[in-house]
Amino acid sequence: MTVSTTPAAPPEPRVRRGRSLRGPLVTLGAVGVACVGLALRDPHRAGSYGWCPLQSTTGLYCPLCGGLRGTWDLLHGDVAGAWSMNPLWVVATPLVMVVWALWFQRSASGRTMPSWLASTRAAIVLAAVLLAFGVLRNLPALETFLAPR
Amino acid sequence: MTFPPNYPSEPENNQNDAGAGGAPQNPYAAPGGPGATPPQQPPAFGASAPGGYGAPAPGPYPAPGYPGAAPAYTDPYGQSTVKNSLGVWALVLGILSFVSCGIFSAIPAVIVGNKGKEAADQGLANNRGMSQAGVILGWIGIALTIVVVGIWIILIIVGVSVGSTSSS
Repeated sequence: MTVSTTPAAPPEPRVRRGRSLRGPLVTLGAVGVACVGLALRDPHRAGSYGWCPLQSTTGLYCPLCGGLRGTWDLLHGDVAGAWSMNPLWVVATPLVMVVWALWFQRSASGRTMPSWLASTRAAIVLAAVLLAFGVLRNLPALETFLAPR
Repeated sequence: MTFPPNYPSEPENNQNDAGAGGAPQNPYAAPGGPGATPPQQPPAFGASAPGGYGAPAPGPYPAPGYPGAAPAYTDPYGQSTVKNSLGVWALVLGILSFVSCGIFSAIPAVIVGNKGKEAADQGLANNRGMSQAGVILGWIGIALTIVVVGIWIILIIVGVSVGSTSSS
């Protein structure tokens, strides 16, 4: 490593690596701070984080309803409690972690993310999944399983 | 004066070697040789793809729609569809800002929508309206979030003052 023939080549990737790792690391830090704050203030108490305008005006459960409570449960190791709050979030959390790990690895090696993550199809799939989950958890037959209880 | 007769003699020798014997020793030295057909196919296919119209981003999008011909500039309005995903993302984020995510997708909707409008102005996308819709929905989502947070703050202030006056 130290006996490299081109002395100008090694500093350049180091600078690029430091720059490119900023995104994943800043994201990790922000999520970590948010998780610490969330763990300190229990979202299960009503109104501890304000009131959802959609829930309080229409009574509907949005696709992310129970997300804060589910994250609090996950942070305390209560997967079943998190599942009862928002099953989609429990399913999505490992996927988000995998995407973050991919982002970190790609950034460390100086490569870009796979293009399908930002593709039209990915956007449509995300919208379809969220809208379908939002509709299903408001159906009376499925409310006991999918709505935050 | 001795070199000029040597140069034209070399390709003749190579062509004769490749055409007569079909020798695989130097198939790339004689690109015009009629005998070496199997090694010529990959360079011919690779040479036609980047030389077509100089598509800015090859990507997977031009391939399924227009496999053979000019991938990016066959739109009747003279616009490519390479960056159409920006408009779709802007619209999706704008809708999600209403349905659930609030300001956490409203701000990205505005950013992505502006990028999509920029791409449409540069001729890289043909769905400028979709990007514009995403920007508008994003701004409405931001405004609604500000209004809701303002109402929360007012309610909290009112509740604290009422609670303190009634209890004391």
